[in-house]
Amino acid sequence: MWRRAAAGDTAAFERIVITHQGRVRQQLRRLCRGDDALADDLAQDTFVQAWQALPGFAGQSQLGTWLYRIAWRSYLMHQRKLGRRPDELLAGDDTPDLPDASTPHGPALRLDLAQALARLPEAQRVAIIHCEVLALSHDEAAAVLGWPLGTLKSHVARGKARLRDWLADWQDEVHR
Amino acid sequence: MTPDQAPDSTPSDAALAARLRSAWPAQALADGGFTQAVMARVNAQVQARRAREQLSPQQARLWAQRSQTQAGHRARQTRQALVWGCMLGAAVGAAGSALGAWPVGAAWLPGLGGLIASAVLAWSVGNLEV
Repeated sequence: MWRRAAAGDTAAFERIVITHQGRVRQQLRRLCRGDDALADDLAQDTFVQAWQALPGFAGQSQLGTWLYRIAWRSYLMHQRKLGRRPDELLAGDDTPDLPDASTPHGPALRLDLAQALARLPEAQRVAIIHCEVLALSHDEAAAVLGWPLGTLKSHVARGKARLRDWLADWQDEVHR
Repeated sequence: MTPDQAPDSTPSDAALAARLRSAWPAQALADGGFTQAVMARVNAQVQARRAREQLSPQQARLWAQRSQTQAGHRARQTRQALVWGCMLGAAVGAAGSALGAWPVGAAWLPGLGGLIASAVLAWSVGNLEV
């Protein structure tokens, strides 16, 4: 279908959009921390860029992965406009832990998986979104993000460990 | 769970992954006019490209020639307006001096006036004939 779209068939491209819009919008919604309007704007840009770039898409990767990569770049461009550098993403573990359960907002935060994900350090959050929420393989996620495979795996492992801790704490509190 | 994630996965990993995936299923996202909005932008691009491509090489050449001719015509008119303005100013200055309307030393004043008038005229020609 992408070959017909690359040749200028807009009906074929429309079917590609219908097929992939859910996953690309979900990726951007998670990256944009639930700012759905911004995420959908970036998703629109993603598909328009994909339409322009389709003639150069040689099918060396899956179309879905290729769209994820364009969406990720759109997100990075937006971050740059806000003054964030891409290398800050890989800078490491600079986000504090969730507040202690003894603080008034602690239990509420722990209840919310989205909040927990949003509180992860940026690189871990991005890695978890691609490998766990979007269910990409490590190889695919590394290709989408343009990160070394080892770096990605390390961020996924640390992110999952942290999420497990937070969610376990929350379960303990619920059953207490 | 993908094959390369399986070896280091534990049951709690699997539970966490299942929970994350079920929290935001992509399939649950309704289109809600999203595809229409994308296709409107794509179709606008397609139409713009077609309009550019429909301009035959001959039409494109004629268009370029016409643009060049118009630009040359405007420049010529501007130069003529400046020359005529200066000549008129000089003539008025010389005639005024000859008739004793103003001292010979001040004959440059009408010339300056003519120059300013011609500059205004040239500016109008350049701006009006777009």
